[in-house]
Amino acid sequence: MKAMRFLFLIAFLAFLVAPVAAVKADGGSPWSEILNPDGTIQWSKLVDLGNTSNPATWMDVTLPGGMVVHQNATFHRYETPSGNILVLPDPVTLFFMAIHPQESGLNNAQSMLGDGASILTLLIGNSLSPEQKAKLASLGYVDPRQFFQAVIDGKENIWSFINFNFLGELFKMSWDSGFLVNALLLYLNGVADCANIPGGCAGLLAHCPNGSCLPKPSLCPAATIAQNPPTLAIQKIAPDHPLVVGQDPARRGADIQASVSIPPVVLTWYEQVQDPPTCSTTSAGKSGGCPGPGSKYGNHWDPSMEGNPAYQVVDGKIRCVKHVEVLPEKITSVQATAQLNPESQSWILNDLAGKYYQAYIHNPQFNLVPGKVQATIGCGGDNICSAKALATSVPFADPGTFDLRMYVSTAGTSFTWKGVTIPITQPRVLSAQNAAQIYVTLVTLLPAGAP
Amino acid sequence: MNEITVSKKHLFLWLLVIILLAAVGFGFYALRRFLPGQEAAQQAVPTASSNTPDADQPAQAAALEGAQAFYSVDYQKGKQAWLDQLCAASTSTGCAMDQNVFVPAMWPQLEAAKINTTVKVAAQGKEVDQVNPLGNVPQQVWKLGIQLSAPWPMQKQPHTSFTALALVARENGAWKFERFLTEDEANALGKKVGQP
Repeated sequence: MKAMRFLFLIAFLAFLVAPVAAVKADGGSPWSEILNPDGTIQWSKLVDLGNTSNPATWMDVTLPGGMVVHQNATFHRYETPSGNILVLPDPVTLFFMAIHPQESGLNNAQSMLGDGASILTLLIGNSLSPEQKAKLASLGYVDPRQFFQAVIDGKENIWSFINFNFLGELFKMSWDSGFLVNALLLYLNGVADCANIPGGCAGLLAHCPNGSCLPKPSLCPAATIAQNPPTLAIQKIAPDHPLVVGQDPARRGADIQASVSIPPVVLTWYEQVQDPPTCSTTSAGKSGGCPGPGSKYGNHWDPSMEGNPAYQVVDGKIRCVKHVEVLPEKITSVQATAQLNPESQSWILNDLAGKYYQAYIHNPQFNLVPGKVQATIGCGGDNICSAKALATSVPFADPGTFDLRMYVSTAGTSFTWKGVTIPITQPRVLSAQNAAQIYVTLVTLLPAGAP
Repeated sequence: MNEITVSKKHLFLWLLVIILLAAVGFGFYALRRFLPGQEAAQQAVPTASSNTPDADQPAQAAALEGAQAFYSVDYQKGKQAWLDQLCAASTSTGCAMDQNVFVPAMWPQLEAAKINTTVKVAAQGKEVDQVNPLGNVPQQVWKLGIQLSAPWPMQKQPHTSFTALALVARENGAWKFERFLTEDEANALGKKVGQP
């Protein structure tokens, strides 16, 4: 039965593909500038604006005693070539957007998924049990989508229908998959319509008149940005053959190590500097001289040069002073999870359960970082930012292949020049994946003396 | 030795006085015991329901332990101490929700208001007993009476005595607290089971 969770997630992913194909057929659609012919997104055309997280009253939940817990609406945003904003809510945010489409701004978006009822169908529809569907039908809702529309219209209560696990599942989806499993919402007109974009325009880059916000003197070479690729790793480091803890009297488990190292961004830019003017003699003898004060000249000046036609002011030379800034890309969070892959779950529920009565899945998915251990995060004197976490003796309770995933969020980089901070690279999410094999001892009875 | 003589009339009067005193004492106790809002305050900490079947005792204990951990807050001990005591009583999902949602959202206000509360918790009955439809995990919902020593700053009204619905689940063979149902969930459940 636990495979239901994974079927739910797989169906969730599969749902995302079809609506894209529907959008691409419309040549005049604002989606067309970022869609490939096969309906996939042209991510290379998008400017990654990073994550934004803002308080949202429409996401408040109230605990016993009238204790109001405020939550933040969290989005990852991209800017399209024409300046539209593509928004990816995390699953929890998307759920609350769907049940509060007006307050959340969902109604202002061009959604790949249609309206709030479609999104609720996507999020919840696949987890409905046959009994729940039968109950909906008895209430006159032949299609669950009709019920979800009634929820949005205020005629039905969503909480009377979904089970207690759904909120936890939503949060787990957000932590485990981040923005990878999600819906795309497109907001038109970009910074010209901040009020309609979730989170407003906070963090969005204003377009500079000359097309670049870098301090780039026109007579000097263009600024360049370079960064070596980051190194990410998540892996089981001991023991060689970890045994499920249920079979291990010592309950050794396995040690999982996650690490990331992000080299600094190297910004090379050229400052246009003009030398002071000089006061020079002129052969024509018809110049206006060199007006004082003399301190503004780069060479010797005396009052006799003022108003003297034998002297003239010569502009200083323009030079390009090269600056190299080494900017650390700070790590803001590290998450790591372990998840028993679907094939192993199927093997436990079918093959193993066929041999060992009542074999079941104990704990197929859990957080390693945070959860088992916190990551140590920091930047060194060489401006390399790194994070490391070692979860020792992780009690894997199920045999099979666990997918180990790590997500690292960064703050991007910025550079402050003469009191003005300029974003150089945007915040980003890095990920790495590996697998850990967990073993089980199976006993086989053989007839004595058999060849 | 002097002999003390008690007449039958005096003996009857003494017995009458003793019976009256006992009746007054019992009446005073009963009045305190059954006054609305006082029930939780009179319970031991935490208090299990005496008529709970043995099979439900571990789940009930998990609900009581979770509520005790949630509402026992000392701002001087810090956020991590609160989170540690919550996670010790919670399922992995509950711990993750505390770590990522509830504690980060509530702690700044608790710390700013210098909250240091103790709580008395009493079990008032099992509301739901089912198997998690998204897995094969038994779970129960327990109604608890909560008596806080002082209100918390994020409350709409500064109540110190209220009821709560605690979701508990069996994880790795042991019952653990997962979380409290939200007001929306509790209202929906109340309608489902016919509560006001």
